[in-house]
Amino acid sequence: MSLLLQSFIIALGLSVPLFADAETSTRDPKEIMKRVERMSSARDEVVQVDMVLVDSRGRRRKRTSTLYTKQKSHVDDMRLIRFHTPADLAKSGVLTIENSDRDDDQWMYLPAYHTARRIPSANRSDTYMGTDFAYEDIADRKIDEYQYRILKVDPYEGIECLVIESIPYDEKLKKETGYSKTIFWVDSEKSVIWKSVFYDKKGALYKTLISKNLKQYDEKYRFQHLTMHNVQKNHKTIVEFHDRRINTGLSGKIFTVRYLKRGR
Amino acid sequence: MTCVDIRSALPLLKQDLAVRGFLLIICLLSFPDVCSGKSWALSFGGTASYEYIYYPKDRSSETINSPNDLRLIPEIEMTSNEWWRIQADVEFRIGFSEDDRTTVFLREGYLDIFLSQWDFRLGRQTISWGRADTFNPTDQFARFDYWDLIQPREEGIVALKSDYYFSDYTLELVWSPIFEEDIVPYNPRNRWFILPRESTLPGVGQVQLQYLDFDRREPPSDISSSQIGARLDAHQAGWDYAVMYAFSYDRIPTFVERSLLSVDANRKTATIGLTPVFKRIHVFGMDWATTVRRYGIRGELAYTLTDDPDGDDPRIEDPYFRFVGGIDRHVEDLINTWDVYVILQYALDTGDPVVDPFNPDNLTASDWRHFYRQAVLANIDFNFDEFKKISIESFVNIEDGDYLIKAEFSWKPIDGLTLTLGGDIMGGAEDTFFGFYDANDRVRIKCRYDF
Repeated sequence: MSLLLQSFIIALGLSVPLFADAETSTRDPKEIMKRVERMSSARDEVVQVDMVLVDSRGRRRKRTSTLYTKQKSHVDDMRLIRFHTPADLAKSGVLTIENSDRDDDQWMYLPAYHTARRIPSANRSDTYMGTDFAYEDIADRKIDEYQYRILKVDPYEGIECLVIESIPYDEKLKKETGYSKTIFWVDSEKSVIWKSVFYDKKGALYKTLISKNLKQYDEKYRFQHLTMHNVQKNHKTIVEFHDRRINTGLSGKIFTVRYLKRGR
Repeated sequence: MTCVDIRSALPLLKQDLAVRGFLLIICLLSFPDVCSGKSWALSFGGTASYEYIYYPKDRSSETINSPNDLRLIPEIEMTSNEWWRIQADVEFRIGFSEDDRTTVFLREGYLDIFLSQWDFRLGRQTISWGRADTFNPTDQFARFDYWDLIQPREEGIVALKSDYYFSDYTLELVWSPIFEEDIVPYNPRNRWFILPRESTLPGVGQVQLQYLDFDRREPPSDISSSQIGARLDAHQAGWDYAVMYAFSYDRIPTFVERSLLSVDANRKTATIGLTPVFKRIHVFGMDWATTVRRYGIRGELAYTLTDDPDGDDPRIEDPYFRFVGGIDRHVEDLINTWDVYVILQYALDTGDPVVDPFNPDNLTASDWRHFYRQAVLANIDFNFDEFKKISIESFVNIEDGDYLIKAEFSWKPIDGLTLTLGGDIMGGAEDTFFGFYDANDRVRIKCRYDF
């Protein structure tokens, strides 16, 4: 672009996008997303989760649970969620062991049945435990399976965020995911995502995820509050996290059917 | 409405040796931790429920509605230091249809000890073996209350169970010191009663039969009736599987001996004494479960060696095989936002029920164990959302053509509260199992609150 043309555009008040272009072009969005992924992962983590499901009429249902996660390998995780309330879900739980080379192992324990039942691993796009999250929102994101593009720099809640578009690239992922694209508001300094907007397979607005109350745990940052809003169903899941512990050397014994059946 | 004196049931609780032993263990175990000031936690929960059943086909006053029970089951859990836990739940039940159903009893009450590779559970407990749905031929330590035949309720047994964990395996060992039978209704007013309600006596003519349930003669209620079992369970490469052996008893009577006690020619009644007999069985079995893509695949196979391996005693079944296998699939948002969960199963039972020599056309206790030879089962759940669903369970006997269909709508208007409206339909030829109970089609309403 010639200097003359640049001056002309600046004079028309379009300097901000031009500035953003200049800044964003120096950054690799995939590298930024990899840093986000590294920030979100931990060797192990345990957190108390309070969830409120809000339906289209504003009716609220509360769930409390404990979520345990641990890295099994550099690509696979183990996850146990144990419900405490409501009473009819108390002591039930789901154990998931990810496997890169075959289907994930997954068991569900319901106290009424006195035994753990092997269940098929869910589709990526299936909803997670009746919430507005999908399984693909919970599992670690495989960065190389997406194409990224920085759209702009946008101040969000007073923080300068890079707005990054993510589109499924891997053919298998394209078939399995529930999203045609996702747009993230990324705080590249702390490598966290403040806001996500999800679009369905037809390209229509599907869900928004708003994160709040960022807290630092040593070298890790975690949000204490999330709101996932399914715009199409007008249904929300509000999540509060507390008593979080990261990289404390959580025992692998927690991620066993034995522990799942113990119910506590 | 029946007037109920709940105090009359309390002696049952006092008589239960398991309860007393259990309370003693609680005191012994908690004493050191309490004295040393270590942290331990106490938690409470439970359920309260009421179910009413209406039988539109048969409103005879000679039969009673079931279960029509009000139940309160408080649960208590005490735990400390990650290595032990005590749990108990006691059922307080008022039977509005039948006074005998009013009772108080310990449903489960056990002590768990968790060591590095061993878990122990001692006390009244529910032990579930097997991975198939609906029928579990390897589930030899399960005990049921069949007061309502098509809604049997699982009851605990007194046992010591240990689980030893090594590598991908678990070795389960069970010792149940004293035999406890299934609860089978011997009251002719019960809708699922299988013996004849009337008969013809020489010189008297047709009489109404009344039955007295004698104490069982076999096996004795002492340690000689111990049952043992072992199960080796594994989780490997996407498969769960187990092999098992149990030295146990038929929990439904092997046969019921009958003796004529008295005849009242004027009132045209006869009183029959019943003596249920339970014979030993050896059961060898295996079960398995895996997933292929989005399908669950489960099965179970068991061989039962009865007390009459050569087939000499007509009162005892010959050895038999039972198999159950099938697939299941959960599909999200199949219709609009409705999730659908489907289970399809095939069941085979090679056992022939024994025939009552005096009433060959009548069912026997053995028919409850072998009510099909080949059957197909299909369960479908339509989940409209997390709080509303329709469940349909169906059983079709391939050879005899009798069937059972259970359907219900359940709704959770608030957390913990579940309201259910359901119906059960059964039918078939008169000499088939569910055809025999054809008049018992019914509508159910249930309210349950978990706290």
